[in-house]
Order: sequence, then structure tokens, then C-alpha cells
Amino acid sequence: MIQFLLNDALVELANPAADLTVLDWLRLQQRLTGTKEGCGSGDCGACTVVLVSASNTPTGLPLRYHAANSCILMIGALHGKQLITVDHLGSSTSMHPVQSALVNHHGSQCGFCTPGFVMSLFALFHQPLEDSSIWQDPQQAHALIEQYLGGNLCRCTGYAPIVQAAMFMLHERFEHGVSDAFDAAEASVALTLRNIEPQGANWKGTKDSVRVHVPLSLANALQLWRKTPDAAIIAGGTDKALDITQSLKRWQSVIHLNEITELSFIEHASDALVVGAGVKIAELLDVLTVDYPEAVPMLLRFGSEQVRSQATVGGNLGSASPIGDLAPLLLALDASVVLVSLAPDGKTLNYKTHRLSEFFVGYCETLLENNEWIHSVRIPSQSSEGILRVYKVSKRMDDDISTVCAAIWMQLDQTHAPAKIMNVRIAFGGMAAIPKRATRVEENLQNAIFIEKNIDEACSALDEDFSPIGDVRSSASYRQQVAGNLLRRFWMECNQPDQPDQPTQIHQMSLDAVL
Amino acid sequence: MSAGKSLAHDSAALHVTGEATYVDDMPNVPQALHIAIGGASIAAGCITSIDLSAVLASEGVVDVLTHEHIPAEKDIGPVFPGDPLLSTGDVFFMGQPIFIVVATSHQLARRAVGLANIQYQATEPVLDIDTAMQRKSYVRPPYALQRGDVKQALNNAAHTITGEQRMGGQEHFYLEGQAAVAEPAEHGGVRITSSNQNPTEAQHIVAKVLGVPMNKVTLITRRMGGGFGGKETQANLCCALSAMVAVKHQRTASCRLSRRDDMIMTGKRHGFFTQWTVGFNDEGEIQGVQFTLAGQCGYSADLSDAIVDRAMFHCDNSYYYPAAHIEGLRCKTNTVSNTAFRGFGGPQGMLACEAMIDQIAGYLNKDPLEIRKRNVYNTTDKNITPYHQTIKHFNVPSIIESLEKSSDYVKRRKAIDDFNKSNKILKRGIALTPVKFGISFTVKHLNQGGALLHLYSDGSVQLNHGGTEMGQGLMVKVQQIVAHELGMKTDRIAVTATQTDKVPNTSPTAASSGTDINGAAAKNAALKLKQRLIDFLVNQHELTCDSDVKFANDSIVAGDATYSWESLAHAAYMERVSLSATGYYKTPDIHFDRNAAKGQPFYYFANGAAVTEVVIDTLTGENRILRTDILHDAGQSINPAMDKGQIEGGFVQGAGWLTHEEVKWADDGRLASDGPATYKIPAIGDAPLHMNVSLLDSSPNEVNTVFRSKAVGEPPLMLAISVFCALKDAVKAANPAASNLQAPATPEAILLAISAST
Repeated sequence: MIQFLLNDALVELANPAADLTVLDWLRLQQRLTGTKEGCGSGDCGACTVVLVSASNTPTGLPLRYHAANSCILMIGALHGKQLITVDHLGSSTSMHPVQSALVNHHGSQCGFCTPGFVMSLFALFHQPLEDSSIWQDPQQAHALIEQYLGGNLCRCTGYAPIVQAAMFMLHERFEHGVSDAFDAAEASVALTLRNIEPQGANWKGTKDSVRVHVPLSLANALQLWRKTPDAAIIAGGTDKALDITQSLKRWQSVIHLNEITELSFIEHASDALVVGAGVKIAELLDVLTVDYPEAVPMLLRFGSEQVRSQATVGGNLGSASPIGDLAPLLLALDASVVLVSLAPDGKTLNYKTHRLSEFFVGYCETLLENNEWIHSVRIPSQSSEGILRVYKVSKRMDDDISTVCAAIWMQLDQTHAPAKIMNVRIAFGGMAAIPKRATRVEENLQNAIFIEKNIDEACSALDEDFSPIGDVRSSASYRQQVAGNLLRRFWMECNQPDQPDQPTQIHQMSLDAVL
Repeated sequence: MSAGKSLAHDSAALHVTGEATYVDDMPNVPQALHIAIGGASIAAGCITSIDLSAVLASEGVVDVLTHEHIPAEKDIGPVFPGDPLLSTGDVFFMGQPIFIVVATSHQLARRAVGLANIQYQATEPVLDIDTAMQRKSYVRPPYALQRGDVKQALNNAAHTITGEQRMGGQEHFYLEGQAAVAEPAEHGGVRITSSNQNPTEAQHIVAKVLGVPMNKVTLITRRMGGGFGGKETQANLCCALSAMVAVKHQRTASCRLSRRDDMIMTGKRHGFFTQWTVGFNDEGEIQGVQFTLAGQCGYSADLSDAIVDRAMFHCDNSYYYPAAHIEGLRCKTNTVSNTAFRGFGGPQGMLACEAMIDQIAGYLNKDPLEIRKRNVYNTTDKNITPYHQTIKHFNVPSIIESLEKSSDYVKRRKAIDDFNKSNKILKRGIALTPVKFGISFTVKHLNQGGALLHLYSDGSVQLNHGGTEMGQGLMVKVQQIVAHELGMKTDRIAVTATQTDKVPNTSPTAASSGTDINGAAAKNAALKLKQRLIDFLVNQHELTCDSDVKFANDSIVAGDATYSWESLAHAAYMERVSLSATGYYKTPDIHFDRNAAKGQPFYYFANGAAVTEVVIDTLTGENRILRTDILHDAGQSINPAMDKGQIEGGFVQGAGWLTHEEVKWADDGRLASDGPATYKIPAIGDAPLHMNVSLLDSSPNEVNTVFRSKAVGEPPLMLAISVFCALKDAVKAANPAASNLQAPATPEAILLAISAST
């Protein structure tokens, strides 16, 4: 049985289908049709709902709010959460402040994407924004709005009135302190959510017929998996759910890993930053903002807010996609993956570690044995002592898959003039069947003097490291050319002290420059 | 009183609360059937065998149908034949519908599709314009416009150059996919609710497919989740299939396409290959021009004849050609049949034109704006179009002048040059381009509209007309027109779904004509009703003349008496006054002799201009629109907020077409960009960082349109050509010898152009 709040009503589903999406459940079974299906693949945001959780909440707050794409959210992910849908936010005669802001700014035309925008804005409405500069400075406010709405496509308005509505809403909420009914209900919602029975592996009913498992401990999860090896395993499910909605596969049973606290930890150990496999990209973003701020621009372009709030570190690495965006970053930081399995005794957990650079072995293939999961990622502390740059190149800035993603890490000996390269790690996504280090380029640069000529020479070694393919995103030659140009960008960004104010990337162009 | 106000969209409060109902939101009828379509897995050839037994045996499947089960007409071509509803044996493109699965749920129907076993004999597909041109393979015969002696003009010109511009197609990506629900009706009839820009056409097609007269088929469209031209003829597929199943099984049948099927099975904007030879003098004044505009039509004609015509009508954009020969080719390829898309060929013709202007400027080393201003039409001696229509009113020159000033074009041009000198990686570019877009269907009979207005005895009003709502705000604008004529509050008037049983023989809501023809028809209905009420009141109160009756402020004054609408409606009803009126309108003064290629196909022109500044990254080709200033002529706007919405939205949609929206086919004819993961429409970060949109002040339409407004649906899309020209400007700053930038200007296309070493 799974239990959750649908808006303000407690729902218990005795034994839902393993492959039931939240969108289908809402639209077909609950007849709540305010939430729309635009694409069925998590790319358009029309189906956005908000998930409210009473765990891992921001300091001092009882609840946290996240937007999610309900088309790729499986029903089991709702256990212990509050699901808020557009139908419950307000009615046409009594609108939520987010809804009236959109109406007053003419933010809807055909209206089909609008419920999704409403829910993304509602999630933003409920974020704790303590730093007032975020909404007072137009440029920062604009960036925040893009961050929260980048996963919502609108084909009619051109976005201008939606941005205006969002700006208005930010001021209403954070300057004038406008509140809503959800603020008032927070304490009771938190209580209800905490009272929902932890499910673990202690199932009511016949265990064999149970289709949705939401274990709370790693051991239980691995035991379940041993018993039902054919069960689908999902954490965020933002990729795996496409098996259902796009490939039309069936799941007889599913094991959700999202409630396992052992997988969602972040630890600053003495020699490494250790990040649990279950940590969401949005949570990783918070940590890396402090530890590796250079990675933040790329992470803000990882999927969309709806995806970042669900997708996990382990999922992104485990799917071993050549275009997953975490891998190049973690390869450049020389991270390792810790794998976990259940010992033959059925109780003990066994761990082993691989360097990430050895983990990917072929297209969507890894060293994972068929009884192992990714437990965590270790980023060695010494990686924080170097220059890091992460460049994501895609056709579209928001919510797009990388054509090429480059992560470059370098330690320079500045006692030399010009500086000498002491250590270098360069990793690319989109350039091979796996996310991969540019080892020949690295060899060329190791101990070389950090001058343009040497960078150019090293670039020519890219041909030895990679022979990318051409596909719908770009030709092979574009990938190869851009890979080299990103190395050149790294050099240029490190070497323009004479022009410190000059932007080097398009999104650094400020409004002031053109007005 | 209400016309001219920026009222909110009539459904805005329903949109934001999720209360607005779309086709797939209709309550599930128990026993409803769901349809999924099985498509061809080759691009060209024929079917040698079909085995659908496994499909039929699949869970939840009730029926499987092929072309053999179509009751009557199998061809759903809207204008010309050539569009089989389900393949009759030949395969023209990959994904072409061959059979349908009828099942108890949408999911079960989709799952069963994959179990079909179909064998083919494949032939080599033609997938691009060039091959089709070489083989002279066309869906319709070539056609040309001719004015003056081009050969002589080119011979006499000081400079003659040739150029070309390729441009890709565009997927509509309406957020709501194609959908229709059909309910069986008596006497073999059917009632279909559909997301549809052209209910009458769908009614006609469904009647033919079923073999029943049109009076047995009713089409209903309350609203679409976006249309953009993609639901003008392409909605027929779901309508016809759901009707067929509803009638056969006497059960409600739903046909909605998954996003992927929608992208694969329905037509898009035509990609074009355009070439020109142009002669001009030292000042860049054009002497003569020869254009060849080749559109990729896909496998059938659909609306391509008119679309390529409109490209030809717009390859002059706002410029006078003393002599011109313009040839249009309708290339046939083994791809889905391309169709209407906002602008309807106009954007492609106009882009070719502006590319030519840029080329002249580059050749003469002048600012393109100077060339634009030098060639722009006037109303005295440079005022005849290549199709021999005289330009009688033209405000593009004053729009350009005004926008050049308000956008600080000259100052910013200098600032951009300075920036480009100092920044090694980033280059900025700027361009100002105008738009002149002809308003009217070029097919004359479509220029008519109808409306039906009921005044109920309680004083409430119900309004119906032939136009459909796809987000553009047509309903609120027509509501405002009627409220204005009757001096009543808009909320007294209920806007209702478009229904073929209320207003018959309607035209598609297309060609930007929605308000012009339906608003005028509604106004005529209102005037008719108003006159009956005046007659009644004059008689009742023994007044001397009609002007003694005044309709204002939601009440009616008749001599000394004042009525509320409630009391007047009741009084008129009790005195047996007819309180229902139809209205009709046809656009005057249009004619075109296609054989002679001469006439006046357009009632008037919609105008505007945009200045866009962009930045490109010379290392990757990534780009962003920094600022756009638009001055657009919407005539005397009925609803400035709605018009502004069309301008902003149309601009960004056009920018998407010209930047990162790339329709791509694989070598075997498979649509490679078949979902939002691979086909990227603009997201929020792609809108201009800063945007100023103004409507041209005090500019009532010079011709007698309703409220003297101007059509605004399509014209603003072409303002986005300024984005493309600005990108070219930036590319040129990065490399003066850059090669010709192709559209869409993806990062790859930009980097390719920069990297050229000619």
C-alpha cells in the first residue's frame, strides 16, 4: 500500500500497477484533467505538479516544494508526499496569487501549457529566498525565473508576459509577504506526512502480489531485488520512465529507491566529498555551489527544474549515457564510484570502489555486476585545488541534451612564467560511446607550458582520443571542432587578465551592455 | 466602449486553473474506444503483405481496420486528391498511416500497434529538394509571376549577382497534440469534438469518408491548445478515423496522437531552397530580379499550391522591383506532406528577399539598412508589386524611420563595432528588417465569414461565429466588437464553441483572417438585432427617429424610457420580436487572375519592423537574442493586449524557426527530430533578454475592416527575420569571408559559416 496526500485528501492505494504514471492516475483514474499531457517524455512541462515533502526540508521550514513532471513520475514516488495539482490551487472565481498574476499579465494564450507554468511558479512561490538581492536585482531575478521555468515550453506567448507575471509574483511574495492557503496548512500537512506509515519491506497483504515497493533501507531494497530480480529499479525515474511512456514496456513490479536515506547523504570526509547515489541533482547543485562553484552553470542547465528535483546522481551515472552531464564533471574531478551489493548471507552489505574513469566500458554499459547498485560517489578533496571549467554546448540553452560537454581541471605551477601545467584532467561527453577522458590530450599537456601554442598542439591529439558520431544533434565534425574550441576557451578564459570585464560566454552578456 | 480595451483572454481564468476543457479532457464515456495508428516503416514503395492477427489478439483490442474498412471516400486531400486516409498499398513516407488499432484504452491501443507484421517492397526515396528539382518531380505544376522585362533590366544593371538561401521546415509543436472524439448520431451520422482550425472542412471530409451528406456530421471546436496552421488540414486525420470507428461500433471513439506520432504523421512548414539573380545600381537600387523558390511539399499537394504562391507573393517583402520574374516550384519528396504554418509560405519568400538585400549590401559594402531604405515601396512611382497590385497605402517607410530612432540603431551599431573589435570570442550583430504581409486568403471564396447571435429573454447573449479559438484571443475580440455595437458589457455575452450546426460553410481560421471576417460578420449580426430592437422601441414609444434610441453603458434609452438589457429583452420577447440574428461578411475588392498572374489578391497589407541585436560565440556557434525592438501596425487595435501577445509570440516562434528548430530526416527517410528531446522550440531563455513592443499609434486601417483594425496573427512571425539577419551580421564580424549562413542558424550552422576560409 502506498499513502500520500492528493492535495488535502489522504489517499491509500492498496496495490497500484507498477508502471502507472502519476499523470495517467490523475487524468484517467481521478478525472483531474487540469494537468495536461504535452509530450509524455518530461520535455515540455505541461504536466507539471508539485511534490511536497516533510523530509530534507530547508532549515527551519516544515516542508519543501518541488516541481516535477507527472508524465514521468511513477505512482510509487508519491509515497509519503503531498501531491499538489493545478486543480487544487484555486478556482476561476478564487484564484491563487500565481494564477491571478498570470491572468493580469496576459500570460496565457492557448492555455494548454499554462497549468504547468502555474505549478512551476507555485513551486518558486514556496522556495525560501532569504537573499533579497535575488528578486530585487532584475538580472538575478530573471535568471531565477529562467531556472524555474526553463522546463516549461510555451508555443504561443514568447514568454515575455510570463516573465512579467513571475517578476510580479516574486515581489508580491518576497517583498510584500503575500501568503496562500498552503502556508497556513503547512504544520498539519507536515504532521500528516510524518504520520504516514513507513513502508519498508513490511508489507501488508500477500507479498508476492505486491507491485510497488518503497523500501526504506538499503538492505531491504537489495533483499527485495534478490527476490524479484525482474523488478524495475528506479530512483528519480526521469530516464527510466521513458520505458513506459515512449517504449511502451510493462513493469510487473518496481522498487523505488527514493526513500532510502542511506543513499541520499552528503558527507564532507577528510579526503573526499562523498555524495550518495540517491542525492538529487538539485541537492547536488546546493553542495557544489559551495565546493565547486565552477560546475554550477552546467548543473543549472542539467535537464530542467522538474528533472533536477527528481533525477539522482546514481541514476545519471548508472544509465551510463554518453551524454549524461554529470560524468564529464566527475571524471575531471577524478571521482570514484562506490558500489554496493548484498552478501550471500542476505544481510551484510558489500562495498567496492572503481575509479569513474574505468567504470564506463561501452555504450550504456558499466562495470556494475548484476547484483550491484551505485552507492555513492567520492570526489577527492585535492580536486578542489585546481582550476575547473565545465562547458555544456547544446542546440538550446535550457532543457537540452549536450551536443558536447567538456570538463577541464588543471593545476598550474604559477612559479613559472608562463605557468607550467602540473596536473590536468579533461573529460568529454557526447564525443564517444561513453563519457571519456581525453587521455592523449592530457598526455600532451602534462608538464607542458601553459601557452596557446601548446594548447593548439594538444587539440590535434583530440583526433586520437575521439572519433565522434554525427546524429540529430550535430555532425561529427562539429563535435570534433567544438571539443578543441572548448579547450581553447579554457585557455582564453585563464589568460585574459588584460580584459577582465569582457564576457567570454553568451549568457554572461548583461542587459546593461545593450540598453 | 469595450472595443479597444486590453481585456484579458476570455478563458484566461480557466487556463490558469485547469478548468479550460480540451478534447482529451472530455469525460470518459464508459465503453469509449481508443484509436492508435500504425505507420509505414519504409519511406517509399509498396506493401506486399499485412498480417495484423497479433495486433487483434493483443490485450484490450476490439478491432483493427485498414483502408478496406473505409466506408466511402479513401482520399482526404483537402484541395487536390493524393492523401489516402490509410494506405491503399503504396507508401509515400515513413510513418504513413496504414492501419488503426481500436482498443479499450489509449495505452493498450498504442501497445498493440507494434505487433503488426507488414512486408514491403521498398524503392529509393526522394528526401530533398535538390533531387526533386533535378527530376522535375512536383506535386503541382510550376507557376510564375512576371512584371516588366527582367532580362533587359539585368543586362542594363551596373551590377548583377546571384545568390541562394536554404531554409529548413518547422514543426508546429502545438502543446496540445491532434485530437478528436466522435460520438455516433442517428441516421449514420456523427458528432465530433476536435482540436481543429477548420471544422467545416473536417465536416466535409468526414461526410465523404462516411458516404453521408454533410448534414449528418457536426463538428465542434471550443478551443485548441495551439494551432499555428497545423490544425487546418491535419486535424482531418483524427476526425475521419474517430468518425469511422464511432459509426462502425456505435460507440464513442477517441483518436489522439502521441507527441511522436503527431510529429511523424502530420505535416510541417515547408523547407525552401531559393535562388536569385539581381541587378542593381551603385546605390544598391534594384533594377530587376529573378527568383526561383522551391518548396519541399512532401508527398502530396495538400495546401502547397497556395503556400508556394504566398512565398512568391512575398519575395518582394517591402521592396519595389521594377522588373521581376518569380518562379515557384512545388517539390515532391517522400516525406510527410507539408502544410500550413503561420505565414503560409510568406516567411520563406520574405527570408529569401532579405538574404538578397543583405547580399547586395555586402557586395556594395554598405549597411543593409541603407539598401532596405533605398528600395522600399512608396505610393507614387514605386508602387506596383510583381503581381500587379498597386500599393495604395504604405507605412513601412515611416515605421522604419521611427524604429531606427527609438531603437538607437546608429548609436548601437557603433557600440557593437567597438565591442566586436575588443572581444575575441563573442561577436554581436544587429539588423532592422521590415514586414509587409498581404491580408486575405489568396483563394477568393474563403474570404467570407458568418455569425449567429442570440439574445435570450433574460438579457443574456450567446455569440457564435465561424472562427476558432487557438489562443489568439479571437473570441474575446469578437465579443468586444459585439459588446461595442450593442453598448453592453462584455460579460453579458457568452462565447461558445464553434459548431458547424450553428454557423455553416465557414472558412478555416487561418490567413490571419479570424477577426476580419468573423468579427465583421458578428458585427453585422449585432447590427441586425439592434435594428429590430430599435424598430420595436420606436414603435413602442412612438419615437420619431431611430436615433432616439441609444445603446450605451449596458442599458438602452428610448426617448424618456430607460431599459436594462433584462427588461428590454423580456419586453421584446413578449411583443414577439425575433431575438436571433445571423451575420454575414465577405471581403470586398479582391480579385486575382491566376492565369495572367495579375490582380489584387490582398485587401490590404499588415506592416511592421523589428530591430534585433544578437551575440554569437565564435568558438561554438551558440547565440542569444539580446534585444528586440518592434513597431507593428495593428490598425486601430480591438484589444492591444491580445495584439501584443500575437506580436511577441509570433516573433519568438519565428526566431525558433530561424535558429534552433531543425527538422531533420535520416538517410532512410525516418524523421530524426521526432520529439521534444531532439526538436527544440524556444524555451524561456531564448526569448530576447530585453524586448520593446509597440503598436503603431493612431493608425486606423485605411480600408474598411471591422473597427479599422488590422490582422495580426501571422505578420509578426516574419519580424524574426531580423534575428537571422543580425546573426549574419555577427558572423560577418567574426569572419568577413564567412560563407552563407543557412537557416536554421543552429550553433553548428553558425560555426560552419564562420569557419569558412574563402
